[in-house]
Amino acid sequence: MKSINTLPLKLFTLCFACCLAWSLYAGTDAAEESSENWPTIKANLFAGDRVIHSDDIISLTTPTRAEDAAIVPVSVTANREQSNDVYIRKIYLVVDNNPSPVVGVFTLSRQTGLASIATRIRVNAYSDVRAIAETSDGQLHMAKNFVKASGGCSAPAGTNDEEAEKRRGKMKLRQQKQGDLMQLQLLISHPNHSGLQLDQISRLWIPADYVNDVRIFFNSDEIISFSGGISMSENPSIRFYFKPDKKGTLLAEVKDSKGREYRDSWPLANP
Amino acid sequence: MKHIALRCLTLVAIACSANAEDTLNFVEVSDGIFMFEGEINDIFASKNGRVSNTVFIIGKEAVAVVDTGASLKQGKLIRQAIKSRTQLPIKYVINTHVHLDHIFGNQAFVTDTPEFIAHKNYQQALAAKGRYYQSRLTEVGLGAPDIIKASRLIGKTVTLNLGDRPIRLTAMGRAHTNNDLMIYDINTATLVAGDLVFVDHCPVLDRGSLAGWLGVLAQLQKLNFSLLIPGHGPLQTDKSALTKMTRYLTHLQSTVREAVAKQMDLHTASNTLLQDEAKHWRLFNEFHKRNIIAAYTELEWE
Repeated sequence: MKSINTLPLKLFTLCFACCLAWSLYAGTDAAEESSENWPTIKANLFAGDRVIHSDDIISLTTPTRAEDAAIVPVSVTANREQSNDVYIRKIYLVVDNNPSPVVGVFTLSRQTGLASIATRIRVNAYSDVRAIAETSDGQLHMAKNFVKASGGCSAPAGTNDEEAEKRRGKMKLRQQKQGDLMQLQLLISHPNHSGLQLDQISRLWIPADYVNDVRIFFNSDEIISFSGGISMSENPSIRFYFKPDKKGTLLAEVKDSKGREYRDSWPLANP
Repeated sequence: MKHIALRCLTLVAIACSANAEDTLNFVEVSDGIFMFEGEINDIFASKNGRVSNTVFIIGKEAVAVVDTGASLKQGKLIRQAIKSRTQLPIKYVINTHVHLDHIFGNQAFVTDTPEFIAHKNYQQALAAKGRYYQSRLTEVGLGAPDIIKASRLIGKTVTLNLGDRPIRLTAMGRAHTNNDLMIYDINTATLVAGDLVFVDHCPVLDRGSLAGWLGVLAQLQKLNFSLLIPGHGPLQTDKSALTKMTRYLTHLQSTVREAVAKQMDLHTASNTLLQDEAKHWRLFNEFHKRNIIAAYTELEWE
């Protein structure tokens, strides 16, 4: 009797498990092939029907699988120098399947010397991650990678945000000479709340509160800026290059979405 | 062909698991202390999510259970294992920290109306992570058990009495997480360390604190215990597991500190540093890179 009773259940479990395994398997394949969101993102980001070249102006480095979805290191390498007639003036970072797909846009001057940048982002789902460079002749050039991650935006910033809160607005600038370039890394202590994290005690969403504008000057010249949103990791980090031709002072001006402003400055290390 | 093979394997696995009687193997490691040793595996790669250790302690009047696994099913099996050994009431369900492989059997104990006890920072962490954990568990077919809030939070140290059996609960500073609680059974000098101690399984730093964890391990080295039950891995009768972890975390700290100073980028750091540690740990590839990221983002603000 017992076996008769449990047989349908076992069969059901079997079928269900097969369907589940099958759908997971098929789903992964599909996700790797294309992104449904990209056409919409592209239309919103770039007016008209602009051509995006897939060439070697820039290359993109990301992990294949994010170790921590809330802190995914990405770096964009520029394969031509900023002294070139046609230089890179903007780099857009996009995560197709994030709730807020545009991580941000970097605006780069010729003074950077090299338009390579690196930062850390949140990746909320298996997604294409794209870097699109706009060169000074108005052309767009893209590099993309597929990153496996989940929950970067809705996963809590974690416990580090206690520290980030205490240090809010504190900045560090690391400088390192590399040939005739300086490699600079600006670190900004900020919890960078995405607005997608639920505080279950209050049953309220933690309001979005993030760095949305960063400008870095050398003496009075703006060398690089970043404008962006909630897909940047907590304690934003921006690594970039600078080609100095004289002594001077580096200045960072940072604004967050609540309208707070922070600034700090550092003498340029001996080039 | 690959797809068909995959599905056949799934069939066989399901058929086997449906036929075997499902129980948890609890071993009495000391008088009245029972331990279930989880499989050393990544929860998302495991068959049934039973990857963490569970302990229950039976006194003369009551039972305390420490950690409840990753699913309602596992919680029910733990409860069944307790009920098969004693009729005493389950008065305390203690969670050593908020991670999903340690707390999601809690729901199975709600009908016992125990006190659900955790570290003072637990509630906040659970609030932040609970829903996310539920969705991850659902993805891998472990269901989405209720999120059970703690009913009693421990700020420093509390001693509970199970009837001629005092157990001491100590809330630790940031270490593995920011809400680690350890339990010490005074009669038998048994330390139930939760994930403050990993044995064989690569230690996991989840927004805790590297410096804090090293401090906690130094504290544990000074503690007298005859048995040590880790959060993952087998029972210990000496302090060698503490020494091994301390060596790894110290190595991680000094190497990552150096990488920060050299401005090595995070991606390169997580992919290249301390690969020689691989031979010492299981699940190294699953957790070591993440530890580097955690260490790096902590140490760059020193």
